[in-house]
Amino acid sequence: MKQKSRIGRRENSNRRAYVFLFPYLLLFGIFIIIPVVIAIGLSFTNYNAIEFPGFVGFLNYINLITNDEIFMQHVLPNTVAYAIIVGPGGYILSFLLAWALAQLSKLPRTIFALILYSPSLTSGIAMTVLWKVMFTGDQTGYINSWLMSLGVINEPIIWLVNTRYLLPIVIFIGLWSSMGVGFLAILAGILNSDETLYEAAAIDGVKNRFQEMIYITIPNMKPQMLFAAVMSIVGAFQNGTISTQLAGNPTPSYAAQLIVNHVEDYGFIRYEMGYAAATSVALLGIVWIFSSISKKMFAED
Amino acid sequence: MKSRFKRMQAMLLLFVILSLALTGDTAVSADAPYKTYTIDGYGYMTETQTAYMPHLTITKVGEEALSEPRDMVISEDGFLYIADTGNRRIVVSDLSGNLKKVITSEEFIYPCGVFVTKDKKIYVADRDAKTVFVLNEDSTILARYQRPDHPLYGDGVDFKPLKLAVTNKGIMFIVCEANTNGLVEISPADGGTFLGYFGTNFTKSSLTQIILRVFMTDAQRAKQVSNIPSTPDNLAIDTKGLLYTVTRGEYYDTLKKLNIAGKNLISADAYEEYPAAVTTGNYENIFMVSSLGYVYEFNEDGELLYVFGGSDDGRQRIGLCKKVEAIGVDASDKIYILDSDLSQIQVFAPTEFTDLIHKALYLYSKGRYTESKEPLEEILKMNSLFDYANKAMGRAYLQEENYSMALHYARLAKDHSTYSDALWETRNIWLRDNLIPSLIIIVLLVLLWKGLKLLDKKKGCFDGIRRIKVRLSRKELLGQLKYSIYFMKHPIDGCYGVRREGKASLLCANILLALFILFRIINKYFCGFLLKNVREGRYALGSDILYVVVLFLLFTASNYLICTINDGEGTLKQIYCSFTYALTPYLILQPFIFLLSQVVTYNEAFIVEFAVLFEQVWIVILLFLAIKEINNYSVKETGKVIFLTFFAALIAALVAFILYVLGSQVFDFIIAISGEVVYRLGF
Repeated sequence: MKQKSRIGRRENSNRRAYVFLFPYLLLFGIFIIIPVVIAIGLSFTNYNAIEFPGFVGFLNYINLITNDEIFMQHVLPNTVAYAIIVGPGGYILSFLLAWALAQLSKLPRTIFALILYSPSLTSGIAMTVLWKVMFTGDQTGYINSWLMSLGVINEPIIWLVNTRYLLPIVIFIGLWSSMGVGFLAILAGILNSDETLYEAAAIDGVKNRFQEMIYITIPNMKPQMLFAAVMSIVGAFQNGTISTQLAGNPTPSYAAQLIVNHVEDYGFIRYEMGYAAATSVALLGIVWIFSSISKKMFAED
Repeated sequence: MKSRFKRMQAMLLLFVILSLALTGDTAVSADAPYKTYTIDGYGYMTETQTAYMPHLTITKVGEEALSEPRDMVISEDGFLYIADTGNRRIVVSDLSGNLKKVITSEEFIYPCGVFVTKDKKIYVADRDAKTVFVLNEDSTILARYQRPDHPLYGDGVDFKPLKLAVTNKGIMFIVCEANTNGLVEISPADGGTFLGYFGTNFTKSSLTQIILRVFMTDAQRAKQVSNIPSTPDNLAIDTKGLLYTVTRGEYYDTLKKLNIAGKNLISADAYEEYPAAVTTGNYENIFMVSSLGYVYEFNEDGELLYVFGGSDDGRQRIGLCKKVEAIGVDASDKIYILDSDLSQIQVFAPTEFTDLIHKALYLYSKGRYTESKEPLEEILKMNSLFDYANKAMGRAYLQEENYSMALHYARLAKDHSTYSDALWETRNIWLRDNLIPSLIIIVLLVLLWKGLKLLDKKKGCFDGIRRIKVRLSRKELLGQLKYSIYFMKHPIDGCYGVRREGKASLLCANILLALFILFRIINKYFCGFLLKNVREGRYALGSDILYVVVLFLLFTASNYLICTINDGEGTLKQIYCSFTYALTPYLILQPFIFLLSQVVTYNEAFIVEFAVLFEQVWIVILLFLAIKEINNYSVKETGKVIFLTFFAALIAALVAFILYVLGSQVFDFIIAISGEVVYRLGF
């Protein structure tokens, strides 16, 4: 009896599972959980990176919503506009391109997948060698020179300073570089779907590729679709590198200032860490709301 | 007969006035012979009080008659310098037409432009002598400037100066005949240095031209008609050194205010096809006059204050002009207009109303917003529909941070940008005051909801409500209404339900359509001011309802007719029901959009636009799928049927129109017959 109960105890306790989990939990704790908790904690203080943080309650949050006109007038609308276009737009693009790639044979598919995936990896380099050259503000810039030779414009447009064009340019580049992990997941999902289903559907009267996509491919890969949707929305909200690389931080007249840039501005230029932490917690809240909405939308079954 | 007599009388009076006017300078106090217009918040011209009254006509300067005068300026100390082109001289007169001096030279051939600087140097542009002369008051020529021999001036480009303006430093800006490069800018250094062309107008390429240029070879391009920009016709310079030009045929760029870099600073509210001259007033206001005698007054930002004046119809009424060449404004805001055809100068004096406007303009531009409200209030007492005053009032209140009043006036003036700014501030203040309490309330409500849910799980205290819900959903109509939400999410399955499972009824469809119309009307007339597309205070409910009902029924009927001859399987009822069900996204989303529209400013308006776009795309997709699924079509067939449906609807509308025309003819015929009968029978 005693023996058995000891075995039973050993089998019931999850100690070994925790031992196996330990390395992951340690790393996750150190690099994710603790920083997040510290950031949330700092957001209630007036930390300035030199003095010891003093507790100020909800002051940072109140200031963020009621006193920070730049945040409410430029940063928030810019971020929402960017995320609304680049999130779903990038998602749709990822899906369509992944679906198109899935029709190819293996070698070209791999090459094209690499090509499409590379912008999201190399955006820093691409920005300097491609987009900054394209959008140079004098007549040597490709786009200016091209438009001037066609007679659309008479004098060069200073693309990266002009407040009217900066955000659209940032959105365009955001779309260009949106084929990230979500794209790979969708591609994998499409390649993974069962061939026999397509055959069965063909027997049942599916006539074209479009119907295959609607009736088989999409229902078959709901998990990948959900993953890609969450990734693209989260990515769209958290992206801030494009505008600062193009136009510096802060961007001219805050024309393309996104929340992440605002956090950087307060955290690493003005050293108002407490306020920056509060802003990033607000961003966390926004991302959480949007990703739970997208979860609701894509995982209804 | 009586009216003819009256007209005779008026002619007689006119004759008297004219004969008085012809004998010399006469002050006249009669009604203005023209109407004064201003622009309202929607951009329409509306009539307003007379802004300037005809004051005086100068037909002779002293005893000197003018011949074809082409230009006139008013010097700072209040003298008129008139380029008396036909007599080859410059006539200097005081403001009431008494001769002061005549400036002339042997070398003048066709002096058509004149300018006077502060230090009393007189610049004369002579077209035929191809020279700009600089003279002093005693007719001594101080300098001559001829065609610059600079390579950038252009080969074979002639120098025929027409009009000119000179800065305080003596730099000349010259309008030359047949020189399309712009204003010629000459500095006095080294006996005249060509500095370049200034204020060049650009040609505009149309989309077709651009597309053609992409595909054409160089040789083909060379064959195209060359696209030459128009030259400025006249110019003026203000005390700050900003240059104003007017150009014919430039439409929205008729009037330009150019900074030192040659960049246009304004976009004027009104354009003129035949602008003749431009000048600035004492309050940075801008005056533009057309050849036909219409005078436009703008504020410094190009917002139209008034248009008045008009063309002489041959009766030579005082205040009307024939061919205007120049305009000037003196220190007491009187306007002088030089008429070359009649060789006379018309003088207009501002009315009390205009004086108030000028006072307000002055105070506002000096930043004295509170004081500027006083004259504005006076103006609004005189004409409460003068939208410019409302606009200025709104801006003054905005500057004073009195946002509720700013909202009020901006809404009256339809000044959307001020309204947006004021709304932003109002909302910000509201947030500042109410953010914490409302957050606490939300948190409490969420907690309450969670608590009730927990309680419900344990004790089942919502069972009663749940039972009512079940009983309600068993009611046929409510079930059908609820089905519209399912239809919206799953259109293909939803159509199957409509076709085979009897999930829809006509009553339900009618209710949905009625709701759609109701929501549309509410949204059209009561949505936030910034997103409103209709004029305020105008309601056309009957036509709104009729518009939706007729369009919807026309579309449904023609779709049904087309489907029946194209192997469609749907019945009329099914098509009607599925179409109304396809409107559900509007019913679900529009209330939110409506609420949102009340609080958004231009900053966030794009959110509403996105939402509307999303909603419309959703409805179109639903309609498409409804046609496809109800009739069991393929995508290609659906596209064809939709195209045919539009065609059928067009034909139906045409037939209805023809029937209406014929019907009204028949009606007229019957009326005429009965009238005839009544007449013949002699009732």
